Amino acid sequence: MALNQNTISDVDLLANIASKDKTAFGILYERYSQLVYNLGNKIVKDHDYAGEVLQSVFVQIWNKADTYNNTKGAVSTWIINITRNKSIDILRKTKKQKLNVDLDLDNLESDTAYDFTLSERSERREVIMKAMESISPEQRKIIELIYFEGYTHKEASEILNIPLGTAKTRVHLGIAKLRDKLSPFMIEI
Amino acid sequence: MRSKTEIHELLNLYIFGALDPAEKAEAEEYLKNPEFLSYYKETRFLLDHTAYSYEEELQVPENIKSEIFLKIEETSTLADENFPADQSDNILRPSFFNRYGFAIAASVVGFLLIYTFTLTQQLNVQSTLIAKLQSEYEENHHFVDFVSNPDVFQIKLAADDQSKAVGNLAWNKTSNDAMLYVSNLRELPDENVYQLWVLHKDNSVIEAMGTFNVNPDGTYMLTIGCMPKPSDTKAIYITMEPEGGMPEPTGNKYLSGYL
Repeated sequence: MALNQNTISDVDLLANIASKDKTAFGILYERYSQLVYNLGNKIVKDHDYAGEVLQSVFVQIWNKADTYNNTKGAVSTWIINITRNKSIDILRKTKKQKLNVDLDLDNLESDTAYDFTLSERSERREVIMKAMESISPEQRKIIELIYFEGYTHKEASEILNIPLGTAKTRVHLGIAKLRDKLSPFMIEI
Repeated sequence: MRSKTEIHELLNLYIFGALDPAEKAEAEEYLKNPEFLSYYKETRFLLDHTAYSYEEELQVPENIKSEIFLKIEETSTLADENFPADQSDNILRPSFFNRYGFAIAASVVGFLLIYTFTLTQQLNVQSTLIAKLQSEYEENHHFVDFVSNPDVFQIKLAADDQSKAVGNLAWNKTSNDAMLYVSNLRELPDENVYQLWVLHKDNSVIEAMGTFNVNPDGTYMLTIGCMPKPSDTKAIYITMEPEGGMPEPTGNKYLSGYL
């Protein structure tokens, strides 16, 4: 059966990819390659390595589509997490920098997962872009440095030449503003 | 007693690793409450998806798509070779007059084909075994060389439960390279991997150092090229995580060792 690339859901695409459907794989690539490449580049800070991230993420999607569990989270969350992990692997191998990971989640398992209520990806991106524009450039920078680029809050405060307390305030205010803007478009699944 | 807003602030800073150990413990207490756990997960989801704001910064190089398709094509070809398609439509049908002769000839040819195939299979198995033994020998030789270096010290990793799993991390304190050898760990299904972590002394950083699955005999040797300084390190441990690994530990500890 022909796939309608405009209407088929991410979950259905993955189900088809699990059956080794290359058309579905091509559609998913068109949907997510820009995101994966740019997020990879944000983390590894190198175009060639970002290309490696993109390749390894999509090869993993092809090989492991059958392991995706939609009760644990949205497809986008799954792909973003694979991208972060692949990027971290490359950073580790290239010794580019240490990684800031602080959590011990042994006791935090739950079935709660979220997705956006906006089905159109362009709408979703627009809402996220607007939310990011609503926070100050300073708040955005510290969130990027710590959350995506792997710096500790101490390193980030040194890079930005601000006291630790200011760094913490910026993180908190930035998140609060992002939540205000994005929570109305999120749903528990 | 903190207000809800203060707890949210605490959890925001918890996500960013910006809490001291006492505050971190307090945040983890709050995370036992479903309401705050939902807040935490929602915030993580939201932060993950801010990645979309970078989506348009660079155009993906055009050659990458074809490279990916080539790779998955190779994977598919290998799978097809393992499970050849049904060729029955292409078999020539014998005429009415010589069907018995043809049947005998076909049986002989079939037998020879099967025999040849079996021999080839055995040869392949032997070759694989030799390659495996050679690889194991080289790995072991490399490990012995590595631990013979006077700058290398070793840390024993022990199981947190009653299992017989053990590990040994050989760590070069000068080059910060290391080799991990584990044994008696159970083999994991495809959707899981073991992941090695290093906990820093101030408890503020846990570094992901690599993922692996063990061989069928429960052993594995992992080479790590970028360990932190031993003087900055408090503990090493291994958890089970989803395939591909996680940015932070989420699964149970299987092995741990302390400096």
